[in-house]
Amino acid sequence: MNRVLVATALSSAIGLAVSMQALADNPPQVVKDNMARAMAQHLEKCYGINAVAKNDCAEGVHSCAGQATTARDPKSFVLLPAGDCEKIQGGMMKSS
Amino acid sequence: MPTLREVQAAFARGIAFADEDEALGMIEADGIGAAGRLSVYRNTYRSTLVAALRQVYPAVERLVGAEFFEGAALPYVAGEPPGSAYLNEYGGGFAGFLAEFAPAAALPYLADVARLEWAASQAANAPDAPALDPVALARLDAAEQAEASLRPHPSVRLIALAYPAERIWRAVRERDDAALAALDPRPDPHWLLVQRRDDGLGMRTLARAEGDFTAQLFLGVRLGEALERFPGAEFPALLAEHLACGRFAAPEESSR
Repeated sequence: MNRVLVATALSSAIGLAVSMQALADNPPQVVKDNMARAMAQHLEKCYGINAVAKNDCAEGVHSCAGQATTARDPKSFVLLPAGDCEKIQGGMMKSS
Repeated sequence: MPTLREVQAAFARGIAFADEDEALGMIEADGIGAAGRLSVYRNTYRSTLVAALRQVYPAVERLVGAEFFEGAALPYVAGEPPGSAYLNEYGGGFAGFLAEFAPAAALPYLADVARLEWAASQAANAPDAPALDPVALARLDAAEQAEASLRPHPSVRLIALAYPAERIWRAVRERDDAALAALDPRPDPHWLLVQRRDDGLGMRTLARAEGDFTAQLFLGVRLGEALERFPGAEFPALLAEHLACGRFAAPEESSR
């Protein structure tokens, strides 16, 4: 793209942005789509960090008493994830 | 007699790195042995960080189950102590860790879901800041517009993904088993723009070139230069969308 075209494209992009903003009450489809997406995907932050970092033995994953005995053993865990991923993996096997 | 600083350093090593010999010599056993006392703190430290990871990565946890999640989180925590007391900043390396975590190798998309959740958490916790008003750009003359170099708004994150992480994330969050089963988790390289908005968290999928273009804008490449590098008609339109949606930060000296 040459400089004249770039300048034209740029100023019309900025003009478009201004009018998209001005049309906030009746936005173009692309903005509506984005807003709909945004509306559909509220992020919930369940707990504040104070609750997480609270230095309370019982607050964690295990109670202190339970964990102290196993502290030096790395916690063993199942080698295959058990959860929703299995459902997606089904789809994967189909596609491969 | 060790100084307080030495005691604290030994205690921190004993807790964060399980390098406890020095700390054990400083602990008085009374009813509970020194190692048992130290392990109470170590367990609290670990479980607090695992809990912080759970809050940032709920979809990852739901995908693999609580036990597997903990089995991945504990070695991550052991290798990466927090750099800040503000735990919303903890866990940024978890996606990279999951990508290398051998037991999760069967789930190649898992790391991308984690990348998405980290971006969402960072966007949600970003400081408030005024967005660049496109009217301010419109007031400049054409040469000044072409020379303008913008910064992304702090609540915007742009991530490159190899898998359809947003669809997986959404299906997992909504516990939509039908959508999960219908998902095609094959590689699908694209970019995802995550933005905190007044009405929640917005996500915008960008094709590779669109994401490349946006990444250049966010790196401060001048607008004219970016449009020269990306000559397609979709790029000015995308720039207009970014501007209209407040994805750039207002300049520091702005009076807005």
